Amino acid sequence: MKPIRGIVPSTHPIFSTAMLCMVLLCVLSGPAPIHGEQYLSRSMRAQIMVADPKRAAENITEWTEERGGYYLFRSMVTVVVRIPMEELEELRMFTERTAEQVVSMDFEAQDLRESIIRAKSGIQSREEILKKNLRFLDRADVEGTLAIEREITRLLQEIEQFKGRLRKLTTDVRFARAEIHLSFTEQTLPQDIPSSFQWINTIDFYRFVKGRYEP
Amino acid sequence: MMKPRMYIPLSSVAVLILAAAVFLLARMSAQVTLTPPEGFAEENAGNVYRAVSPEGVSMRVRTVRNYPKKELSFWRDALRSHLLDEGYRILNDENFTAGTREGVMYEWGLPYGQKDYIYLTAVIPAGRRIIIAEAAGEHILYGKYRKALHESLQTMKRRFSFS
Repeated sequence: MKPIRGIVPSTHPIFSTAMLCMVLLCVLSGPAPIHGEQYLSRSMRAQIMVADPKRAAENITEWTEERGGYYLFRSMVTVVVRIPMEELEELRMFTERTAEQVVSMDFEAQDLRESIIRAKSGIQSREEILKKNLRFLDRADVEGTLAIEREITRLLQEIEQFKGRLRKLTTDVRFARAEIHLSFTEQTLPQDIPSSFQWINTIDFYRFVKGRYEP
Repeated sequence: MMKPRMYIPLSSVAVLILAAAVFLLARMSAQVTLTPPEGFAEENAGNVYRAVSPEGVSMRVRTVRNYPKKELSFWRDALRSHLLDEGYRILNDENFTAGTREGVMYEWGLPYGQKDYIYLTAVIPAGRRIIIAEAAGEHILYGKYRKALHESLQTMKRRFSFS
């Protein structure tokens, strides 16, 4: 029996083209729509004092998960969570209820419109070039097909990068970021800086708690 | 023969009186009286007043020379900016009145060991002296005595005594 001469599928231009078409279909399905055309990313940063930091950290993460969020980081003294944007105000109130004392609470908002539009247009322009390249494939010889294949691969990589960036921006718009510090213990200790006024140099917390008095 | 009478010159008497006055002034010190925070045990050692709660929240009041002689607004800014520069974290600041005198009080948040502490510093310029009050405690305990400490600050008065 005459042996069938094998064709290495992965290197054959027609097979590669079919693979690329499949990938292209996935790419052309388009990025996820931005939530309600919102472009604002919000974040909260709070420093609070609590009786039991570990327990407070657990309570905050549990509460976040119940509200459809998730936590990025949790330690004895710090919690970083992502929470659906509409729950941010609730998180603020929950944090205030959790705290014995709120030391600081700051909010920030960033308009991501420009970044989102740039990512979207980056995807769109590359998809158009991709379509054109695919049309050339039918008429190309083997060498040309390989060249187009390289070009398509490059475009697909770029599209994937833009899609990843867009996904990140979409998450930033949908989920607010909250960083809550539950203790001062991670703070840098105060430095001893001399004052021009003698009595002010005697004001020192650490000397005071150690019972050392310098008149 | 008449025995000559001993006369002490008037100027010598004046010198003696002056010396006594100087001696007494030197012994006289400016002290502070106040109602101790509720639940605190007090100790008055020399020119420094101390009080401590059963859990160890402590308070100290003393006076220092108001030099250079300045008013409350100056010392308020000086103390605040100095402690902020050193890295203290301010939690609260408010003015208060102790008798007829105006003072300022700051509360600072600091780490100590594995716990958060609150450190209170209060300043009342009182003529040539400045009354300084300090208190500190683990933040939960401090919270328990905060009201009592604030009330006690409002009762501070300067008095003179011989030590």
